[in-house]
Amino acid sequence: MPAAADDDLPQRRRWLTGMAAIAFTGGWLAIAMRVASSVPRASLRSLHTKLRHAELGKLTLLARVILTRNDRDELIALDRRCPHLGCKVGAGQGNDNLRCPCHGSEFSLPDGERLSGPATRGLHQLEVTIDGADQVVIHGLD
Amino acid sequence: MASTEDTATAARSPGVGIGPLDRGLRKLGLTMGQLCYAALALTVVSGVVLATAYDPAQPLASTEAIHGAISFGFLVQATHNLGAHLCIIALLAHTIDQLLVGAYRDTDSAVWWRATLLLPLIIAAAFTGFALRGDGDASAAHAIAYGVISSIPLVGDDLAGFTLGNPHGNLNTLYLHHVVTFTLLPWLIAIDHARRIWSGWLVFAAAFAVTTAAALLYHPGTSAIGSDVQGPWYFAAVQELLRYLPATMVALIFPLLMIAMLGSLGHEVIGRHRRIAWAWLTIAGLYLVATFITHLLGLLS
Repeated sequence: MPAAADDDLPQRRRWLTGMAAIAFTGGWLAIAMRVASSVPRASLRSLHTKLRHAELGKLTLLARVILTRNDRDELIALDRRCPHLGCKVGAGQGNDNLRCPCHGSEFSLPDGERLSGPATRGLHQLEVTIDGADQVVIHGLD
Repeated sequence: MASTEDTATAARSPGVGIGPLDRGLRKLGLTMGQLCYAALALTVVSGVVLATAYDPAQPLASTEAIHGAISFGFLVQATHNLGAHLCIIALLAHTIDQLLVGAYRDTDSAVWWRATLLLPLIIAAAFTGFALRGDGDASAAHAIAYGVISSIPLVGDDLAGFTLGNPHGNLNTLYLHHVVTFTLLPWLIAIDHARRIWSGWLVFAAAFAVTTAAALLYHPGTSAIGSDVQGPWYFAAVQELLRYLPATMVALIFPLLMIAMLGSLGHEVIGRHRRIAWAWLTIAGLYLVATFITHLLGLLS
């Protein structure tokens, strides 16, 4: 009986050491993740474009935003990030709709509603205004 | 009679058996494990050269400069890229070989776990390297990985930011992890695993010659943003499955399950080693077949 207990001892010690190592690493990771996520990232709350409202066509692709016009010729700004996994959405075949090049989700024009694919919702609409110099300003980017 | 030290070393040594792949390679004077180690060393050496010209704040511009404006830059970049592919292929082959001979039976569980971790770490190193190019495919791959990790409940956003940085900002965080977490860490594990710091000059020279010759023939440029995304070949099936299945299941639960299955083989208490090993080999085999077919179809389309 004491011999069996002695045999168990190194294994128990190893298990405890392993658990302590996991707890230590986990603790460090949690702290590191907090630090990393609190580092201020490049944020862009409003984008003052140099695009003139009057000169914009039916579909304009910017780096992070898609600008379209509805039937009443009003400007609509859509976040280019696909709601599925964040790839940049582009123009579909014949510019009739919008398509994600990663997993094929499709969205309607001009409002960005979901048509098909793995995305579960449409593209996020952003607020858009025109400044005094007829230039397009997009709000609500993060 | 073996000394106590010999017995202890034998108990800790990974893979005392010689697998069918290694049996063939031994005629050439090398093993799959050595080839993997040499490919890792090759990517580190070529990576150090590339680092002098690469700028994570301007990833695409610096990648294009390496390709076009720097003498033999395309060759170093392609050697780095193909060396990473060789490393993954050799590591997968080494893993399969060792499972076939049942090396887990003679290996200490801690040693087996460290060896198991090499697989996801090396794949992560290759993937972060792919994403660092900053072109259309790389940006999309970065965004997908970010989306997958951030879909984890509670810690997803923090974990994605910590491991991948901001997919719409500069690539400093990704670069740091590519160099330190996913390259130095596997190298340290490989040193512990192989019990040597260097792969050996002969096998390194062989890996260098093969990879550089292949790099002369195949050195792809950057891809345009907006065209259909072609991810790295080892994730081709994952990318296809993401069209139909939830991201958490495909890109997190499945890989974690595979790692857990492989790592658990080092524990005697688990029992059923043979069944788990064959299940792992079957799933991995099916995945590899699916990924090659998907990647090939992607290249042809």
